[in-house]
Amino acid sequence: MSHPRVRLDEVIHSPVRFSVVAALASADTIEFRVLRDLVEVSDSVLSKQISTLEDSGYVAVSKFRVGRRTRTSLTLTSAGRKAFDEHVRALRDIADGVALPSPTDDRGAD
Amino acid sequence: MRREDAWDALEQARDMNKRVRPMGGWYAAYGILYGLTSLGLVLTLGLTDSGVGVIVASVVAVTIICLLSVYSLRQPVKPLGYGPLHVWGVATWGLIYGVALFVGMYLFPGDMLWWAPMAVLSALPTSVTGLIALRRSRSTK
Repeated sequence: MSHPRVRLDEVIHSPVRFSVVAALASADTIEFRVLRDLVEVSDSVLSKQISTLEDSGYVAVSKFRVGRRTRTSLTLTSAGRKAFDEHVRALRDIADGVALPSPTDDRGAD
Repeated sequence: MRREDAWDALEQARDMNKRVRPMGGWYAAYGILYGLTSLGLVLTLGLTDSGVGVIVASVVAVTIICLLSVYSLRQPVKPLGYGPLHVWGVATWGLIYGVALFVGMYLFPGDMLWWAPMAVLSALPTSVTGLIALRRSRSTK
């Protein structure tokens, strides 16, 4: 039997990144400054975490101008949504105390 | 990872969901105002005899829609499913608006029985998408 913790996503598992992805999973796009306030971290910390998520293909970053200012908008990619959903399922299994059989278990008849 | 840690993480995700979802509720105001603008515009275009009336109504409607577009651009959070909702709402509105004007101006000029229902119908697509976004903003799933 394997523990559901093996299904936890290593990229999302970090506390700050988990909060970032949880926030992005609840919307289509969120601007950087709003996400920063939601997650309660500094600009530099959030930038670093976003870079990691972007490198993993979980978050897409787009910049656009509104008047004179450039705004940064963040979106969870379909890969990011899938990874978050699977991570949450693993968390639920851990919370419920579920242990799933590993694919290599021999369940043949006697 | 301990069970308690998993519960804490799940609670954190639920809490974040509760905080973020309502931030997309602005789209309801956008959709309903867009619909009301269309209603007023279609009714005026269909029933007025005055060329000045047509021009004024058109200018007012275009101004309102431009302001709504700026309002939408400035919103920092776009609700879940915003892209398809918005495209569907505006495309359906465009179709109804086009039919209302094209058919109405040739076959039913000044006819309240055509223009009143078509004005209401033209208000529906964006109002519906706005209400869908509002419902999603209040959902906790």
